[in-house]
Amino acid sequence: MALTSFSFLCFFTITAGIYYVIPRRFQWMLLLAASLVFYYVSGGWAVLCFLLYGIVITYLAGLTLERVKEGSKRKGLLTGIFVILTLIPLFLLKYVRFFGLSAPFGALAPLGISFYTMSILGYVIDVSWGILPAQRNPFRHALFAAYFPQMTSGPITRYSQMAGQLFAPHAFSYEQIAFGAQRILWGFFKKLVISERLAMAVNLVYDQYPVYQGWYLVVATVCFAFQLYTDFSGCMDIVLGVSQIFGISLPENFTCPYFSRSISEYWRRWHITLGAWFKDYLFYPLQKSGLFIAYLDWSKKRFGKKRGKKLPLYTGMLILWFSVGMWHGGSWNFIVGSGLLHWFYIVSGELFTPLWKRLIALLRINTEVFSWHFFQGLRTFFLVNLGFVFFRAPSLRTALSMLASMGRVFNPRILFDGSLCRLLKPQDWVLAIFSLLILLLVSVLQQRIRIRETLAVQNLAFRWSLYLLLFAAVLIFGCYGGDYDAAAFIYQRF
Amino acid sequence: MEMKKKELIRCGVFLVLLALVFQLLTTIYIPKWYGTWQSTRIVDGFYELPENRVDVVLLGSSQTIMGLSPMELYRQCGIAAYSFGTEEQPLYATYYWLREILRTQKPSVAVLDVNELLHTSGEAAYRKAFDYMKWSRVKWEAVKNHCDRAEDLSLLSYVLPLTNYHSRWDALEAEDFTYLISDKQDPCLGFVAANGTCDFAYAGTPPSPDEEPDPADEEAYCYLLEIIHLCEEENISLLLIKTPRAGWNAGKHNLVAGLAEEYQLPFVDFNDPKLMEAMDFDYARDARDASHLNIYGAEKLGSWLGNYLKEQYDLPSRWEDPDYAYLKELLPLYEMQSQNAKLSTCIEFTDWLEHLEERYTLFFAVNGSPALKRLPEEVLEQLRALGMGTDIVTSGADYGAILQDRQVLAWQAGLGIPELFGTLEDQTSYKLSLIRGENEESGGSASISLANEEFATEGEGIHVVVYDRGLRQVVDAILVDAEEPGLFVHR
Repeated sequence: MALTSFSFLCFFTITAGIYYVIPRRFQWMLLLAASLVFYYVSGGWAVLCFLLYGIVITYLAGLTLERVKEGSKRKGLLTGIFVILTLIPLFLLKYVRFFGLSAPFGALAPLGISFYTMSILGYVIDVSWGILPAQRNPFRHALFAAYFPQMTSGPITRYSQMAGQLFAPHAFSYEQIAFGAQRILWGFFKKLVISERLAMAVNLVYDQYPVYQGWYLVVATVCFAFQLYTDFSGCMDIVLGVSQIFGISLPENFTCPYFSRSISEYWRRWHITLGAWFKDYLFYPLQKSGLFIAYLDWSKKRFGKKRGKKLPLYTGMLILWFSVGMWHGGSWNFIVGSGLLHWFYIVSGELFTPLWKRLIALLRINTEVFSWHFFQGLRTFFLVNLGFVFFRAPSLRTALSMLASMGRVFNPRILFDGSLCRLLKPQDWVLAIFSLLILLLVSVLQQRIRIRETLAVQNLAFRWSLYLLLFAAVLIFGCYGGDYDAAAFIYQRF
Repeated sequence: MEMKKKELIRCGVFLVLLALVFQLLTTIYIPKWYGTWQSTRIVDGFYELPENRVDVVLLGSSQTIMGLSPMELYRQCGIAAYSFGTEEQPLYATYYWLREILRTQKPSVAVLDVNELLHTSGEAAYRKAFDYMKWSRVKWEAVKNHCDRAEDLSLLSYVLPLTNYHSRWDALEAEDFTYLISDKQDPCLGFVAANGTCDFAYAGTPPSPDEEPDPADEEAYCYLLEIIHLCEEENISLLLIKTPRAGWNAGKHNLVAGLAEEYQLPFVDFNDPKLMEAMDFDYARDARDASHLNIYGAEKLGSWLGNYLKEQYDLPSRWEDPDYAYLKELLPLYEMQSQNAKLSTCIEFTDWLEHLEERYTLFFAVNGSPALKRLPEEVLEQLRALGMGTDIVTSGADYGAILQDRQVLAWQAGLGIPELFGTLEDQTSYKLSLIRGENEESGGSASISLANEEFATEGEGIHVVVYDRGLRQVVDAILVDAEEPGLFVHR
């Protein structure tokens, strides 16, 4: 059940309606039932079983680990076992082919398995570390694992963030409903009007890249950057909006990532919960582990105190980014595009920092002005886009071939001679650009004010006109449903 | 509590507004099939009919639309009828439309053109048949059963047509916006008065009983049987017909004849040469293409069919029936449409001039030429009768004139670029200009635009645009090359 589908809207509306009619103490049970129904309808019994497996394993893990003595070797071993058991379905379904093994479940890809696995794994580790008490009620634990708004695209939540909200009663709040609905509408706009529209151009070029070379690939990659952002963040808006209507706040996953001035900043703004999860549950524990402490000692002795500190850090980051890349997909183009390439950017950025500082001083560049910040933003966007070539391409080899084509085939005239109309109709280009400008405006405003709260105090007529206009824009300009082909309606039988 | 009540009311009002916006957009975005076949107008016109005022329903597809004129049946025989075809209407849709008709009408006779028995229609045909049908159990059953038959058919797109048509945003036209407030009544009662003639020398399909029957389309056959059963249940006399069609053959005839015999139904095949002769039907003159009749053919068919229906089914004449006064009110409008169709069917200039009506405003733009001096006296006489200053016409000069009620409203003559512009009484703006070519070879041209829409035919000669003040529309735009023997009309 796609988030932008009519069936999801109906499902959610009915669930929300019942949610505020039933006694509040049963609300969390309704959410659990709805979540299981959602999962079943989306994937059937087979995929539901994987979810139930994860729920059962991590529930038992919590209860077991809580009883084991803190800091004991047994705890570590048990934690490792439960982590592996939790990761088994993910491995079998997503990564088995990467290691050259045959996939036992064929092309089965349970909805959101990458997301909920991280959430429940985080729960197991938190309990193991003594940060949380284990959840004794299996149904409450199931709700945390299966909460349906976040199943398809995240965000990756922590038990500590969710527990207080999921099981608490929620009174009807007009403000929450209104804000949630506004957010959903905005998400639909981003997803259907912008993302799906740009996808047509991107798919055409990337699927037929031997035909579309050079600057076609450049244009398509830039379009992909916005397609991916509006798709993912649009889904997040819908997810957070839906959840807000239930009175449950989910963590933000995007904060205008293309305004970033460095790769590090980019990953603090893009898929925030993923980065935070890997940092908290992989990177930091790794750095604090006995192995890495020994590694640090050896490195300091070998390379000196200053340089020696860097090696374990960069090694840890390598493992981190490799894992981030793997999470995105079990193939090298994802590992490089969303992982290793970014590791390279960050590490080389750090290594060359003294050189950049000297260059900036030599050229007397003022780094406190808008022009410099704008340059940094463009540079970051460019570097991110290089990664997107790998991310979008079907394979590593194809990605490298595309990059070579971008460098080899020099045809910027396509930007001016109407060639881009092969990718999208002129009207669609105009609409896409106009919509992106609206997105830019909203993003800039978001940096300065809280938009929904500011709108809420405006006059009713203005607010409602804006909402109805946005609603109409989604209905008219959204790419969904059938594509009306006037030619098919021309009566030709004589 | 008061706050909560206020909030709930506000929510409710906003949801109502959302629904209204959705419905408004749906109305705008559904295609308005007002082109040649007028499917939208036909469906909308049906819903404007008063209840229980139709004695005969004419069913079928485009051949019914152009071949069977309910107003001819009324005008000639006083029969109250409505023609219910949409383009390529599959018999599946005809069955459901008959059920829909029976919700508000009680016809005693159904006349079904069987053309679609032999064809498989595309999805577009179903959409044209169902998109404008009002929601009821009949429509729900029709679209649900239709969409259940194939996985790629979306029931949601029928329930919420906007999901199917929203991508028309870059192809919207004025009629999409004016549809909501437009008059839905159809003076032709589902008929389209077609113009044009064709070159087919088709003299009919002689009977050939030994010819193997053609195979019927499976779905169409199934739903023809449903129509037969429905008519039996509702006590409606079903008459199967086939309008004249150049593509008809003995195999097709035998298929239908066999079926008619099996179910004891009358079948009138107008492709029978004897019947065509009885109607004085000349395919080349009375049809617009290989499948469809023009206004002349429809009048002949209507006359024959009307008499047949009266004799066979004892149908009452509704001429003086006050309950059927709506037909009398619509008759003048129908006659105007009929006259316009006949005008735009003319192929010779003299014949064309004969068909001009008093209510027309004529926009003449004449590229000067020596050939004008050689126009036949008959033509000049006709032009004078219209109020045209023929001395100027035959002088060979460029000439522009606007004629109305046998008078010249405005004119301009001479070498150069005559230009006339202004506004008619009904506020329709016009602009007329002539351009002389740079040399003998390049030739002249003309521009005649009304309400900023260009109508002049390309070329050099006598350009005429005919504006019907009664119907407030342009009904013909011709070019006559004075140098061409025969003075044929070009469009």
